Amino acid sequence: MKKYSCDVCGYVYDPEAGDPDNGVAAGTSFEEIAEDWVCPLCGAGKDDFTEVE
Amino acid sequence: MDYLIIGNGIAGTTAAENLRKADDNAAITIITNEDTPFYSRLRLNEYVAGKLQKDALIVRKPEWYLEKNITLQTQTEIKKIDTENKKAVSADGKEYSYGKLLYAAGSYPFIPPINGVEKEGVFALRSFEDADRIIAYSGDKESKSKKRVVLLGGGLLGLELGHALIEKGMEVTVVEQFPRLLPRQLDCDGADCLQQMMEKTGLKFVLGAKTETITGESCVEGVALDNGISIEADMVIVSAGVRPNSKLIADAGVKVNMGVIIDDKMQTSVQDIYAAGDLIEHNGRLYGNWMIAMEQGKLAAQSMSGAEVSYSGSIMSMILKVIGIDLGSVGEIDAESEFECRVKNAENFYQKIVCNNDGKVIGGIMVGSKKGFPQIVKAVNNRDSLDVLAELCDN
Repeated sequence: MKKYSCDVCGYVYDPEAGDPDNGVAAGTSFEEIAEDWVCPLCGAGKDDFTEVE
Repeated sequence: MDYLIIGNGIAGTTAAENLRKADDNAAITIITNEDTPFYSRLRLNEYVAGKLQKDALIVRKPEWYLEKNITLQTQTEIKKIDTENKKAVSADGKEYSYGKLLYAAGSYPFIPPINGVEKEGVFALRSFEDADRIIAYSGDKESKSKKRVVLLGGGLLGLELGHALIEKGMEVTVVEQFPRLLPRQLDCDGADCLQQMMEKTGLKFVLGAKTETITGESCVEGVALDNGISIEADMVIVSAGVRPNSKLIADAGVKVNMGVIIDDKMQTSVQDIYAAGDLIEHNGRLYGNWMIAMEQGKLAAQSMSGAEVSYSGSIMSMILKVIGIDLGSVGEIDAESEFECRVKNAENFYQKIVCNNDGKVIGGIMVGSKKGFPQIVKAVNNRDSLDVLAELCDN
């Protein structure tokens, strides 16, 4: 599964780790995350994430 | 309705986006004196360190503005706001009329009145322009001509910049007037924990010392501190906090105290002029925080487009990662040890949960991990009792 990074602050979403503190279980792909999820560091929305190459 | 927004930072840009959401047809114009569309000020240090190109920091590309039908007017300095005729006038005499105005011009770096602060080689970092000046002065990595940096201020921005400069191969000493790092976000033990972790990466610290003089002929050669210590340096970067950009709006007759005063509807003292972001003062409080500015931008837009809004202030909360160290701080940190606290202190880890006399959670600190931090933030926001965090307190 691909990692995504936040364009605003640089936070990297790693599907293997998920974001359990904010209700995203480990193993959740970025696409599967709820649309209202926001970057845990800066609050940016999902639209502001880019796939990490 | 014609909406005019002065400032294209996070508050102004978020407001524009939300105004468009509320109204497909409104005319929305953003004016900025900078020459780029909305970019991430948070990542300027990575740009200075050479890790990111300018383009990577630009969060909203020109296409975004086209798609949202938002007019972005860059490199435009507003000189005057005429509240009577409801228009803003630029330095070159162009007039921008508005139905409702959002003032979101942000803040500027505070430069303390230190002897020698006007010397060549003294900088602050707030914009691309500042960043380019620092890059140009410090030269490339190979020449190693100007590699010793003294950073005045051990706050959030200072530490992140310090870390970025270390990665660039520079020698960095942080001088902080307070006896601890991140005085607004951490207590003594939390700050000690962070300092030890940061020292391992090569950052040096002098705490509890005031800078008396920046030495050197015309260029920076060092700093002399009030405790007798002198540090040789090629550059000084001041990171002593920010102040609201409020002059323009004060000149227009809007009420300004420490910041631009807004009510619960995000409105200033003048009809149809709203404000959001770093420059506002609400119930006597100033914020100066990215996520809070975003929240305020959204609320201001809702209020401007006619929705019922009641802003009750924000709880200061931050999560950050400096040099891979997770940090969290929220609400009351009890630096003066006045409240009941649950503390865990280990090597490379510090956790503190602060409760008031009624046993409600009112704040917390985490260093070295952020696991469970959002739960603390939630407890603070909900004014929960400590029981809800039992798991964090136990293991």
